[in-house]
Formats: sequence, C-alpha cells, structure tokens
Amino acid sequence: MKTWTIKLIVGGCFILALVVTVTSFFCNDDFWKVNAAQALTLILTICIAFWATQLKNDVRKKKEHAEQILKKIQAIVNNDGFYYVSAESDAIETQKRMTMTFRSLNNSIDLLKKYGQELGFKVNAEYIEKEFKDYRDFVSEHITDVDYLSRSESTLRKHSENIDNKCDIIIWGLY
Amino acid sequence: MIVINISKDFTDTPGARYKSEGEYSGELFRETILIPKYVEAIASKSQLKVELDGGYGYATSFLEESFGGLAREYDIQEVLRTLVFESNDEPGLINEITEYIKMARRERK
Repeated sequence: MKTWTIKLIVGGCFILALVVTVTSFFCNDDFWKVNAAQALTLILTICIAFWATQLKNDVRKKKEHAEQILKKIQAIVNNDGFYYVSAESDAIETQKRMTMTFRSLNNSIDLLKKYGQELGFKVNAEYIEKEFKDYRDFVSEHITDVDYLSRSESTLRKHSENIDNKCDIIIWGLY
Repeated sequence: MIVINISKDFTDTPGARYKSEGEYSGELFRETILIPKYVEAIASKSQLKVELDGGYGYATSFLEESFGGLAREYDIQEVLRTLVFESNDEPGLINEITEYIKMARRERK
C-alpha cells in the first residue's frame, strides 16, 4: 500500500512536470532562452539529485552485503558441527574443523564490525564478537579433548543461538 | 629479518596450550622454535617475522601460550618491538596476538 502511494505521487509529479514543460515549449517563444543563474540552478539540481541517488545506492549495496555476511554467519553457527562433537570423532580432524570454523567466523565478524560502524549496528556486532570470542576460547582450551567437547553441546549451542538471534535482529533493523 | 613460518617450521595443525594436552602445543612451539629464534633476533638486533598463514587455523589457547608466554618471560616492549606478524588468511589474528602480549603484563608476577 505504501509503495503504491509513493509510486502514485512520483508518477503524478512526473506527468505534471511533463505537461508544464510541453505547454511552456509551445506557448513560450523564449523557452530555450535562459540566463546563467537559471542554467546553473538547473545543473546544480541535477548534480545534487544524482549525488543523492548514488549515495543512497551505495548505502543500499552495503546493507545488502552486510545481510549476506550475517546469513553466512548464521549458516556457520546453525551447522551441527558448530556445537556437536561426537565422542568417537577423530581428534585431529575435529581440531582442523573447529579451527577452520574459527577462521571463517573471525573474518566475517571483522567485516561485520566495519559495516556496524557505518550502518548503525555497532553494539550488536560487538555482542556477536564477544559471543564468538567466548565460544572460541572455550573450545580452544579443550581443542584436543574430544570427549570433553562432546559433553559440552549445551554450552556451545547457547553461543550458537545467541549469535543466530542477534543476526536476525540486525537483519530486521537494516531496512 | 629472521622468519618463522608456523605451518612449515612447526605444524599446519597447531594444537592446545600445554604439552600435556597433546601434540604441537603452544608451550612446545614457544620452547623449541619461538624462544630460540627470538633470542637470535635480539642478539642480531633484527626483527622476528612470524608468518601465520598456511595452516588449518589456530586455537586461541595455542596463541596465548606461545606469544603471551614469551611476553611473560621477556620484556613486553622488547617483544612488541621485535615481533612482526603476517597473516592474510586471518588478519584479525595480528591484533589478537598483540593483545595477548600486552595482557601478559598483568599476569606477570
């Protein structure tokens, strides 16, 4: 409904401007005669309108990229492997999987923090960073102890859910 | 400049904090590679570059025990001046390791 109203107003303005321009063109012999002030005003208006459009476009692209990063983070933390470690799993393979997950998340969160400064979700990005740090420190202290990690699913899942929920909140507030 | 590439000179799967916790721990890395190279760098008045890329990633316990541990044994300012880190795989690690070195001061007796 809101989109239709905006479209109607913009369409109406466009048609009105067109009618005024065409009418002026046919009814006024001096249509093409403009002084420097009028020409400058016109050029300035076009430049400002172009700049404003581009600026908005840049912000929109940044929001879309931030959303992609958030969804990537959600995909990582919602994967079973983020919080579930089988007691029978190979210790070295588990270690490799966990440390590669650390790296992937750390890089994404670093980028997210940069967007957070610009797009106004700095506090929420810092919350995600802290949750991730707590998760990583916990797993790191027991990285070679598969048995202990296998018994820590609820602790690890807590971090997963906290990060996932905060990502949803940021996405909701982006647009 | 003296260079350590952790994945080539030590392992591509760095482990936990202490030797008692398994292979390729931070403690083992510090004792067998980091400290000898650090001493060599100090003696030759050069910098020690630590290349972090090439492995499967790091547990924070490994990094803290390696570099925080070094700062607990030697002068922190000298450690900060001497060590240079390189990481393209995970650039955020450089700040984190620097923090571990600075934090080591508080834990020092």
